Amino acid sequence: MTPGDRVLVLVAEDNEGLRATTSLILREDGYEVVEAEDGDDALARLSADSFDVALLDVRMPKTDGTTVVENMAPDPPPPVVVIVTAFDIDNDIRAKLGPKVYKYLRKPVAPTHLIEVVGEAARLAKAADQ
Amino acid sequence: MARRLISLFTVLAVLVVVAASVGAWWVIRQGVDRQNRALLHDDVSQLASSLQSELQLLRNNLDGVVFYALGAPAGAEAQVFAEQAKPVLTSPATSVALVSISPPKVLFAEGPDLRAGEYLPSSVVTQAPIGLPSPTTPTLGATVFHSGSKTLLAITSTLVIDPNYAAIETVKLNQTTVTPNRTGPYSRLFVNLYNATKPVKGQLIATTYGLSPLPQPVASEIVRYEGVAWLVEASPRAPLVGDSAAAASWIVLGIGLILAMVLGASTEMLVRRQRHTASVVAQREAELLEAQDALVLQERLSAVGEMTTVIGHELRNPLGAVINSLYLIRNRLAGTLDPEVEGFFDRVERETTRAAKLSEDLTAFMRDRVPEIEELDLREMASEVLQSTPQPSGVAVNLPTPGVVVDADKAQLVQMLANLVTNAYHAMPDGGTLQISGSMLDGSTKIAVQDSGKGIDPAHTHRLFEPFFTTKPTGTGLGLAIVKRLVEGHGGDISLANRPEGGTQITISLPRVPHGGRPLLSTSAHRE
Repeated sequence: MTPGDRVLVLVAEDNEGLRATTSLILREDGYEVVEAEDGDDALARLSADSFDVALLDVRMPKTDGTTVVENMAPDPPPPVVVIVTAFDIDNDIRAKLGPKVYKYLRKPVAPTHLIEVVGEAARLAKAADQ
Repeated sequence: MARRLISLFTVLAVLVVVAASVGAWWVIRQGVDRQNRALLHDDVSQLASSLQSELQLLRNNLDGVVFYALGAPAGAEAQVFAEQAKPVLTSPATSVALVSISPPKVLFAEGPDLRAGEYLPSSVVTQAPIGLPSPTTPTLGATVFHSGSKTLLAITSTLVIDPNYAAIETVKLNQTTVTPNRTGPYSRLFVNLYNATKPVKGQLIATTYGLSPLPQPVASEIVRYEGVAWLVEASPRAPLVGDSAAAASWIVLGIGLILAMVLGASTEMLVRRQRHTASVVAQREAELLEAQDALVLQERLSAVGEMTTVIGHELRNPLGAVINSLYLIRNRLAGTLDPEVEGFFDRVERETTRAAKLSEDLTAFMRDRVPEIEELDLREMASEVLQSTPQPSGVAVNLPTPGVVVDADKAQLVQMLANLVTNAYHAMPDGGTLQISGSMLDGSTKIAVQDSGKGIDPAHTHRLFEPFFTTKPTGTGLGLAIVKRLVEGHGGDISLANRPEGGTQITISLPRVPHGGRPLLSTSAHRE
């Protein structure tokens, strides 16, 4: 990743320790990371800035991750979404969210795998921008 | 406990009735015998008194013969004697004579065995006896004597009014059966008559039975008249009380035995029915208790499951933070650590990953989700699983042929295949071949996952699907248990076998669902 390629990533996770370490791993890998501690916070951040990638936890206070995906405004253009969850996602929710979600990851995610998936998502976002 | 052929209770009931029947038989039989003997005794008494009357009549007749013959005009004595003798000559074997006392000579005679002018045998004279009567000397006597080849009974009567004369009647004895007149006691009895007070064979003067001893019971009586003493003994031709009375005891015994059989059979039937009922009740009770226990266990397990799921979920966030932190620490310290500390970090990473895996498996095992069935392509699903499951070096993988369709819940099929593939990889640490194949049968799809590893110890095969049973040092023991539970949730079945060429094959059979509905066997509720 070159310095000119600024990639903005949203990490929405209510567990503080997990949120902080995940963000740090991504920052050390060169990403610009914004943290959100619940679903409402995530929606607010998403409407304020144009994110390339969003890592969303499902179970969060106020608004859960899947609802965040459903309620994302079309402007600014929504990020490539990766759902990270400790729970199973029902097939009908998967069907409802459809292509709005790039990938589902099961917690705990190995850091190397996380970096790999975020990298793929970032490339996808940049490709869509062009 | 081995069940008896016949219950003790039945045996006792039958024994009591049989004993009562035998007792009744014995009492009745005693009564009948007593009655029989009393009747016999009566008959013999009647016989004796009729014999006595006959002897009395005979003496009168004999005296009459002598009296009229002696009183006849001179020269007409023989003719008068012959006329008077006629009523006395009752058979061709009978002879009658008028004899003088001294010497004992026959004066007139009728019949085959006495001749006028002959002398009487001395045995007759002494034994009968013939002689002067006195107040103590009887005027009637009888004796058995032999004349040539004949045996004769002689009955003598000395005339009281003229003791110089006597009358004698002889009867030839055949000493075998005589046919008695069929009236009175003779019709009912076998009778022996002896010219003695004891049953002496030589003194038998009449028998209706023969020379053999009379059959029991025997009654006897002595008939005495003047100098005659005759023993009459008799036994009944048939039970005197009557056939039905004699049969009464046997009828009672028979009815008793039949009753015992009927009672035994019905008692046994009741006992068996009661036993059966008791066993059914006990069985139902046991089933009820078992069901109750199962329910309690189910509730406990359900609570434990709920708790496990919550803990499983809640552990993931802190575990994630630990794994991330470890990653960050190792990145920062990269190149500065001595190998021993690196080893410690490796261990922390390995064990944390294992804890994460355990929490994931526990959650998966306890998850009770109704499968959402859809038509899936087995090859596609297998490829997806292989992509997310790191393939060890040295392992070759063969995918199923295209076109094999499975009706399954996508996430659950992925989980089943992932667990089986992971197991197969672990079974081949030195490399080998993993083969995933599928075949569509009538009503089901068969999926086989084969490895070329060492195979399973046969001692373990029956436990491999148990939760927490594992043969791997780092296994959680939940992989196959999860697969089994998911397969059963689909209404399918799973089996495991060692392959003859080495390695293991796990076969899953999942039913085809006609309209994309849910399998019938799945009744568990949606939990999450």
